Amino acid sequence: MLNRKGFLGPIGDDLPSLIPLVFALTIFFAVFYLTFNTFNERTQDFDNDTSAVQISAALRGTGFIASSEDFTKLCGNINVTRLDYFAGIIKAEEYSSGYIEWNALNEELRCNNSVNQDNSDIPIKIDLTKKNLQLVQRIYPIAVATDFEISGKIEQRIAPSFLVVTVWRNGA
Amino acid sequence: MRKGQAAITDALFFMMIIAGLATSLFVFTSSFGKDVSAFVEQSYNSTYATTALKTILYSNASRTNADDLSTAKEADFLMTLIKEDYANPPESVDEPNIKVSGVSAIQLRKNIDLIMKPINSANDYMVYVQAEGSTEENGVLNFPFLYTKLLYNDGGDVKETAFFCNPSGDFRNKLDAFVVKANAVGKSVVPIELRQITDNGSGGYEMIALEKTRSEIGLIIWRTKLVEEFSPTDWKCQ
Repeated sequence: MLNRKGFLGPIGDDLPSLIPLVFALTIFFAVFYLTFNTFNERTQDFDNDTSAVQISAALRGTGFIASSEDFTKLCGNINVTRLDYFAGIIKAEEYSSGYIEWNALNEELRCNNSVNQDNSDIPIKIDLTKKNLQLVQRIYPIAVATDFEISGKIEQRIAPSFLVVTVWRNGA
Repeated sequence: MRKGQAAITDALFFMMIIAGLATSLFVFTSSFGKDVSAFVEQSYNSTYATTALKTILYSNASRTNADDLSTAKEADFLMTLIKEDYANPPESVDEPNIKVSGVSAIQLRKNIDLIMKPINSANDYMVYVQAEGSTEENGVLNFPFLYTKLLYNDGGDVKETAFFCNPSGDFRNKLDAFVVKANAVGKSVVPIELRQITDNGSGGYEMIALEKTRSEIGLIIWRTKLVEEFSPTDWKCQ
């Protein structure tokens, strides 16, 4: 066998066929990796969207918030553990486009499930430049009973406001 | 030599199968979740329209023209202002549809613009009050209030423009055609009961509810685009 002309051995003889084989396997695993990653990322996006919808539905209630106690009670109905979130109310007049931070929300009308839960006065810092943050912020109009000082007296009126729900991935 | 050829042919076949499989995976990846994303977006727009209309109806507004809620000496539910305005007899018999005007119309417009702020960069909108006809023309629908902010081509100058309109008569069909053409992404309609003050025939006035119950307030949201169906003249807009 060793004396046969052109014979390069059991592997050597099949060497040219190995090139398309390796090439094919490389393409397959590259596409498989891409698919797996995209699938994971989009599933996570859907999870964030679903959680944002759940939180907003729990907080919107009838579409009217009568007091901060009312809002706190609604916050207690939220059952989201896998993701971080914060939610709260901002006056319609104070709204400006772009990302709304925790600090911009009404202090009495906000809640979250982050590590700062024990002390909600500590603002939650989210690094918006961080990769894979997958942050979702949804805004809904809502009517809120608000105190106004009219001619030296406090009067409660129902003012248009926005409910802001922000959800992001744990540990992002 | 033949063995080598066979091995290469096998490898090429294998590569073809892998290429097919990879293409399938790639197509799956690029389309995965598009329907879900579209559904989530549609659901958000629909919820936004519902909550916006609820907020408009729940909110208080100043009873005086220019005041904000924080400075107005007297405030009431916005819907109360609209109902009061509509209940008052028309100033002119020739224009029976212009009934929601003045303070209530201005406050309603302010409220609508405020509430639509988060989505107004990409969307246009319209709020209308549809009422059953007045006692003289019972059964005919009219639109005592219609406010819209949309992309309008004003003689070649295309820009976002706000209009107050008072269409009448057969406008319902035009509105339906407009909604279809605009491809509305969010729509919310709430039935309301409107009343009118009428002469009771013995020198006094009484408040009566309109006989039929097709009165409603509606909010329509669509992606910003030029909708040819809109005609300020036809819709009697200012």
